[in-house]
Amino acid sequence: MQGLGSVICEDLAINDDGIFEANTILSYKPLTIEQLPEIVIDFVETNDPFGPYGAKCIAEPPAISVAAAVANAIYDASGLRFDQLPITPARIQQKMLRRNAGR
Amino acid sequence: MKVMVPKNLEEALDILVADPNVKIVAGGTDILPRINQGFESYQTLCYTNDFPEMNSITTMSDERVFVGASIKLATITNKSCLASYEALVDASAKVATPQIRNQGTIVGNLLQENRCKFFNNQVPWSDINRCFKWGGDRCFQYLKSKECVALFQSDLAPALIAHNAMLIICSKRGKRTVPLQNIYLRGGKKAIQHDEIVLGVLLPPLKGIERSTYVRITERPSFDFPLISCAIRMRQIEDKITDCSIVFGSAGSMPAIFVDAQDTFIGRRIHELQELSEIVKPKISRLIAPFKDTRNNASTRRNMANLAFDDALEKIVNRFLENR
Amino acid sequence: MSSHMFELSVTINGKDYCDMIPSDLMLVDYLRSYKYLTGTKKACNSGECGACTVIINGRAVYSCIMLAVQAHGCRIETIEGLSDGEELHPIQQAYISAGAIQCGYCTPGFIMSTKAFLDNEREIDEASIKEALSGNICRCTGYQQIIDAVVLASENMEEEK
Repeated sequence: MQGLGSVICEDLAINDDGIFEANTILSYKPLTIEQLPEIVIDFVETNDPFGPYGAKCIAEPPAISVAAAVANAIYDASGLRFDQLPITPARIQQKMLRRNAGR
Repeated sequence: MKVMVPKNLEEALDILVADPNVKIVAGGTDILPRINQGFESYQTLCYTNDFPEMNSITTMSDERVFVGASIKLATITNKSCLASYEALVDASAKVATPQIRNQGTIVGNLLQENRCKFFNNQVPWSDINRCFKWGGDRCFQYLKSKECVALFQSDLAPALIAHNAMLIICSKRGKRTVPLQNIYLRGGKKAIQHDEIVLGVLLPPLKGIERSTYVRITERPSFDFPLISCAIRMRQIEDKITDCSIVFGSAGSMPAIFVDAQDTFIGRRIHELQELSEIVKPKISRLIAPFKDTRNNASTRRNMANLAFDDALEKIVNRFLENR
Repeated sequence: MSSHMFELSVTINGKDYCDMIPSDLMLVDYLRSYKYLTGTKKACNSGECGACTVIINGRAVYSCIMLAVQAHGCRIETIEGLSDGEELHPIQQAYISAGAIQCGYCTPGFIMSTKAFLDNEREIDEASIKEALSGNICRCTGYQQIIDAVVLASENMEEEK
């Protein structure tokens, strides 16, 4: 959920003067229970050359790859590539308008 | 800080007359977070709750419905005598979170302070160069603005304005009744005198086939204030629309009434509305103030307003069609 | 400078109390600092996270944005009131069994919201659970186990009836 939040909703906004604009929970917008999607858990067996007995840690990596997965899904749906998080409906709309206007 | 707990309405009104700096607190969900976060501080608060004049929902003999100012939002959603005021029920069901709806009052929601990222965040620039809302002399949203442009983000206000609601306001000087939309002034101010207490909301009786709806667009489905919202109410007599109210919320420093669409829809039939709406939609952008928050800007707000309007229109047309 | 005092009468977890408190005391501070009921947590202090949720006259509210005087004459239920001596309430047991507790900071708030929801015996399905708990935020669990815990609790509470 932290991974999903980082891509659709959570914005640690800092303005040009380096001042935090999202310094309340209400403006940072962590995900709520109503935004829980269906999550299917599956395991991929790998062999990490650095990990003990080839193991890889299980806690943090999923949070990172969710953002990439969602961004790829958005590309697949719209043809738009994003390099900044979060990818909100507003940002998708702006990019789409710019693309349609030929910019 | 001192919190006065008057035992009745008369005592509360006396407190307001005696001290021009007293601030009323009802549910507390608007003012107490700002006090906790250090944006505001007061010497004295006056707690108004459980006065018989303000805590009932009554259908009067002329079929108008009085909703007392202290009624909690959660109560409104579940009251059968209010069920036909669909925009009001839709709006009150989705404000913030269940806990806020259990504590916040209807009039508290209508009189809430306007919000802006430059005011509602604890940021240093308010120490250096205070904006109008902080008691200073500039606006950070538009540098050239001569007044505060913070958004009025109430959910109930557009729904109740669409319902032609009135506010009943009393003071030691007497009572007055005003249309709700007249309360909202420029710069985020409300037309309530310091020594006045709002007793409640008066809803007109429904006539003919009257349906309404309220749609809000938010980032998250709970906690968040609406980015844009749209309330539509229409009355149909003998197949024609005879009365129509369309109000946008979070449009600017006060709710925005979509007069062009209202005028266009009156006299027409339900099945013509969605086609007609294409003619009036370009006029929506004039009603939506450009406003920056961390995720949206002027153009996305205008697009969202179009979406909210489409969505609300579709919902209300479906409600009319299901009646047949 | 002396504070303006108020004589507060409340019932907390079934027991009556009468205390002289400063009139500007927030409910969460009254519960935590005056009654030493520190199960209720003060996290955001602005009604944005739900960790401070308690039940007043059967309704869940945020105690951090409520003055203690607003609870005068009311029935308050806090997390401490759920267990019966050593025996946990079915909701508490369900949260443990479903693995819905990680750091535990949001847990009292979630359990009180759950109790307020289940006590009102409405339609219990995933959608209504999500709506009832939409005012509480959890950063650790990702919510799935919490939903499972509520379903489990409602089943166990049905059995007990």
